[in-house]
Amino acid sequence: MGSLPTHSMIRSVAVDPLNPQRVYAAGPAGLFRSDDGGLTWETANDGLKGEPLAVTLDPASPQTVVAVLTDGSVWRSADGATTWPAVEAGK
Amino acid sequence: MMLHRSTKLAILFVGAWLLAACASAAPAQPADPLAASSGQPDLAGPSVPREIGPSESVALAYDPADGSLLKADRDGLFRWRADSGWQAIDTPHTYGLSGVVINPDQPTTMYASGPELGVLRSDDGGATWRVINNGLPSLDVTALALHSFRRETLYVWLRDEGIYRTEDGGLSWKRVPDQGPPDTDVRSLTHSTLPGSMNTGRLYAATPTGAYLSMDCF
Repeated sequence: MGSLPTHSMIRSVAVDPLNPQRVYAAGPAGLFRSDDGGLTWETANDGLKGEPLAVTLDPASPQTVVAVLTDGSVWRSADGATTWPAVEAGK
Repeated sequence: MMLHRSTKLAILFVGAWLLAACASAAPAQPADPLAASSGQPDLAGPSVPREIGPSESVALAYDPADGSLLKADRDGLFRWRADSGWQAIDTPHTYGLSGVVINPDQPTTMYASGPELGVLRSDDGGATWRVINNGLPSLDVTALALHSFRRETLYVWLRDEGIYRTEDGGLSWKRVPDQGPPDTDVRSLTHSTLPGSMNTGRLYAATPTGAYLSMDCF
């Protein structure tokens, strides 16, 4: 388990509505995931190339996490941000 | 561990906010932001690469009706679809937005917020909007959140004012007796049903100094 960088800017937070212990945070330092409500964090950037602008998730299927990067590209993870397989589109 | 001790202390004092982070080294990050644009479609239009201003908010909302995405930022409101990319959505206030949320049980109902705007509500998927600012002492909304399961309850962060809540879908807003996080430059709010609240949940606040978790009743 890692942590959020201390005093690091966070632009966006998303919470799994079915498991509120799981939280995602996005900012210039990357994308992070917590499984204890934000006490501890781990990076969740595997495959994600670029600087996250914001993060959200599908409330009906919270393993589907979506991130938008500063270049406008949209990335979708199907496994709770464990992997980010490919950029979907940016336009 | 210091953080756990802080958590316990924070719980004792209703109204406290806990920095949701540990104090240790920053993790390694992707080094090449340009890599994502290599070979990608044209990024022209509202999402052209740009610097993010020091006090800007950017909000995303997932539309469960079709898997599209809404984004609110300084340039306005946009919807992204896999086949068409980002498309602008007209609102009465087409610039400088700070928040957007969708009612997941009724995705045609959505809300948007912005500094100098307050809050807008649409019940037709964004085709028409109406202002819902009754009770807000200013229009300087920098963040907007929807309650996790009460679909008519929303929260805003008003710069220099604090947190306001509506429990009737925006018909009226009232101040929440909470001083907010130590860093009052709140860029986003997110409701959570994390256990420990005396009410129906807590709020996360994203700020330039980290993410904070409220210990108050929301």
